[in-house]
Amino acid sequence: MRLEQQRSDWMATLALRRRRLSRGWYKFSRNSLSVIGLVVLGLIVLAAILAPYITPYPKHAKAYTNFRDAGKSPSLEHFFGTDRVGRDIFSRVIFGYRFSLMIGIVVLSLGVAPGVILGLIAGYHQGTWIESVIMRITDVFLAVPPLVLALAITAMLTPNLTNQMMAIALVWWPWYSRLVFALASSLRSKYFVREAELTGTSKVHIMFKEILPNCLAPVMTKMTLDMGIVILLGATLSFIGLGIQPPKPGLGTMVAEGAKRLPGEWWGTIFPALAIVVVILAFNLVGDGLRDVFSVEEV
Amino acid sequence: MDHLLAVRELYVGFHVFEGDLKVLNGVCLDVSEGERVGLVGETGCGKTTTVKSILRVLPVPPAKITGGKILYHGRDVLAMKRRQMQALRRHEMSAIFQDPLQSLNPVFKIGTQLRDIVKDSALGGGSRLSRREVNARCVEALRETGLPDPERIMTNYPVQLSGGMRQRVCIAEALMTDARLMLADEPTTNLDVTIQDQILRKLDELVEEKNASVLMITHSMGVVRDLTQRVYVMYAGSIVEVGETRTLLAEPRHPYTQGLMRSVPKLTAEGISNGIPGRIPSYLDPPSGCRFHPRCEHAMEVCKSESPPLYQVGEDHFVACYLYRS
Amino acid sequence: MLTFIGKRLFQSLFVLFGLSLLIFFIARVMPGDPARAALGFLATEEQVESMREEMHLNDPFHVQYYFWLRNLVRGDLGRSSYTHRPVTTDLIQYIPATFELILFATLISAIVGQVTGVLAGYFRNSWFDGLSRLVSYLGIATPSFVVAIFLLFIFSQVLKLAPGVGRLPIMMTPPRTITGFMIVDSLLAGQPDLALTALKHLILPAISLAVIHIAQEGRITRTSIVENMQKDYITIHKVHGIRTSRIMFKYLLKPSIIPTVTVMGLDFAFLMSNAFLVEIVYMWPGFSRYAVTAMLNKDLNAIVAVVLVIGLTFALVNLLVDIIIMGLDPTVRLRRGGG
Repeated sequence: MRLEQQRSDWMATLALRRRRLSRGWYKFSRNSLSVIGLVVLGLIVLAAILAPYITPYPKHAKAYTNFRDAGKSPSLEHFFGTDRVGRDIFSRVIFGYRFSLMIGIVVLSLGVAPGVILGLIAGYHQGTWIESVIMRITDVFLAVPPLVLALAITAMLTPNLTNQMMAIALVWWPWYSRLVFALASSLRSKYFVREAELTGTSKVHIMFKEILPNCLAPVMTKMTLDMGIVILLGATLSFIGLGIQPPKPGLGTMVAEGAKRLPGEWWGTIFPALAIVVVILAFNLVGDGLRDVFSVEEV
Repeated sequence: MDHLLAVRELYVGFHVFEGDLKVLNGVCLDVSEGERVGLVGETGCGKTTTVKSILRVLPVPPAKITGGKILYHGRDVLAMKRRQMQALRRHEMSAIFQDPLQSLNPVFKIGTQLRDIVKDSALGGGSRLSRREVNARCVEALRETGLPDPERIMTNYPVQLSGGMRQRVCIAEALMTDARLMLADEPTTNLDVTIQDQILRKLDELVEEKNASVLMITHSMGVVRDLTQRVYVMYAGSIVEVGETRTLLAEPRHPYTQGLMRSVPKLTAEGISNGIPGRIPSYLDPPSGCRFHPRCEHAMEVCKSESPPLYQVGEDHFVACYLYRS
Repeated sequence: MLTFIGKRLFQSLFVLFGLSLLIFFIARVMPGDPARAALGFLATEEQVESMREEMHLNDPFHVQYYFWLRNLVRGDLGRSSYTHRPVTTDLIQYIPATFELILFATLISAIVGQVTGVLAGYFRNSWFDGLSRLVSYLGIATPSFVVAIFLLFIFSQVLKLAPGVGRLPIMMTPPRTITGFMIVDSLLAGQPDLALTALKHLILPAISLAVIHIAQEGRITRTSIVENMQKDYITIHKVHGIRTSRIMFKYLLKPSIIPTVTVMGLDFAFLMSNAFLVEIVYMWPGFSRYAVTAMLNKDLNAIVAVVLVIGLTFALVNLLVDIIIMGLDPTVRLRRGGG
């Protein structure tokens, strides 16, 4: 009997989840731009994963020179033309997406979890010294624009991809602390938390099982939008020379290299620049769609 | 008979994720000059939608007016161009909503808002009045609603006033424009019980003075009894009964109205009633025919197939129920 | 109000302390030898060692911090190991140029952003709204250096409409430096056409900086306006006869720009950081470029000074924004007071 009860409960939950998912998809798909963003993003991710197999000149993504083909304008053989040492820009851009996506994923993985946890703790213990300490530290990191801080940190270490990612992650977690802190502290006074406290539930349980689920929606939306900003940050650092070093095909690095050849061989800069814009745009559109999904409609 | 306001067969729907909500189902409503008419019904029965349709302030997607006319002095409001509608609203209509805090702009002083109304609505030459005259008009309007120290209130922000005071300000605003038709949507529901009565009486007094017409939306029978001359009873987007207030309240004919009256606890009754069994229907898939038939103990075959028309049961008393088909 | 400001300033001081500690710590932890960097590779080991003594590099951390703090209070930010001048001199020279740029960019973004936001929100779902949405999506997604390069490429090199890089054309002599603001100084020196040229040179970089903010703030304003349009009080304003233009630009605008102003404060930080990208592309001799150079050259004193200046500016701007919001939104102000 109990088994059957459990089974029917589980089926009901599944049905509920499926319904929530389809309603979510409805809300998301209402915004055609978000759907376009999702499709573009999917293509980019696919291309990045399959890069060695689908690009015409995968070897060009590494150290490669062929001065005979240098400086060719876009053509059927080289969609985006070649750069000053003869490498196919199209292939390099696809490989460049690998770096961009990797930066986004790594930074967010490293930065979001600690930020969220600290924000939860601080929000739950609002008014105590725990909150003060955590939020003051957060304030210090937020006192300066993230780019400046990331720049300062990267500059002082050896500029390369790994350091760049660590620097950005270090700079990024406070934003999540602040967001979750605001959410958690406002939720803290809501009834369901007080009830849980009265019945003696452990603090950890309250924080993670009661408060956290309510914070997930804004956090996830922020994460999607942040992917775009983190990629932008990474491209910027590479542009200055503090990120991905040549000959690796970082998108920002390519823009910097190509900029020296303006206006003549414009394709060296314009195409990587467009590539950056496209991926950030895609993330922004998807993030916007997510925001619509989580918004509550009033009739 | 040329009514001031005549709503004819109004159908309004809303489009949502699950489909189309068919909210208003052929609403018919009349208000004559100087008349005070009530519109009674439970929360969610479509009263506010009706009011917003009359004012033409419904958010048009997702809302949709799928049929009917709204005639003001014989002219169809729904067919008017925007500018005509604006002029009509400005000079002839006024509104009071349920939540006075939401009805006043929070970032401007009361005085600013009132003064701009005087200036723009061209009351007695609006834009040509001097600043002092405009101010005096506003202060006078506030004073009429019984507010003490109206000059100071002019300099206050809405958050600085109590709920009752705020609603008085809204009433002053509504009456200031000398509108012929006032649409009041549950004006006292959000107020403390002790103040509700005071404010209603004041409203009554002021409306009487100006000989304005009022369409009063409420879910309280008490308010209906005290303030209205005629009342419409609404259920799930349809008008089920209409008549002169005293008669209707004394002898409700429609099963729903009877149920409502039974549900009001009376000091002289034997016990507390069980209310009306069942729930308000979903607008997504409303019952066919008479929308009340699933909950009605007198339901007949015909009730399921077609919406009943209004049958006359008294000199000024009509019921939309096949029980009274004569 | 004054207590509020006082409290905020005190908090900011505290935060800046923390910031200086953080940066100081990172600076000391990093690899590389600032003494050697200051003297160059031709210096002998003894010279480098005595420089290390002078820079207190061999002392424990808290001692170094103490010396730095003491100098700071005296107004001595140390010597830049790159320019070999006192950092304060460098700052005085370069800050106004960047400030001019940022000010202009803020002005452009405020005006253009708000106007487009209001119009887009009011004429929701019209072609204007759709177009501005598209443009704002692009604006947010495009990094400032990309915008800067694009604009330079198109307007200066292809269309030859706008002047090229730098604050003034190479041939022209700048006016006597009084404020450091090229335009103001030119006017003060009685050379209005010079001021005009300076202005022309300012336009492209300012626009490059402003683009992302126009996009972002405009959208927030638009969303705000759309939301507020549904509110009861706007309906009441309409019904009771307030004319449309007044509703649009007074009664709808004021509550709607409040969230935008909040974002503007945050955006200012981004403006400061994007300024250097624009400065690099346009060869603008500004503070941000100085900052980047300092970081690339491991110029310790300059790096610390730069981070502090930015932190301080940011804190002040946030305070200003909060004061403005209190002015715009009486509910904030009055709730603080009591009731």
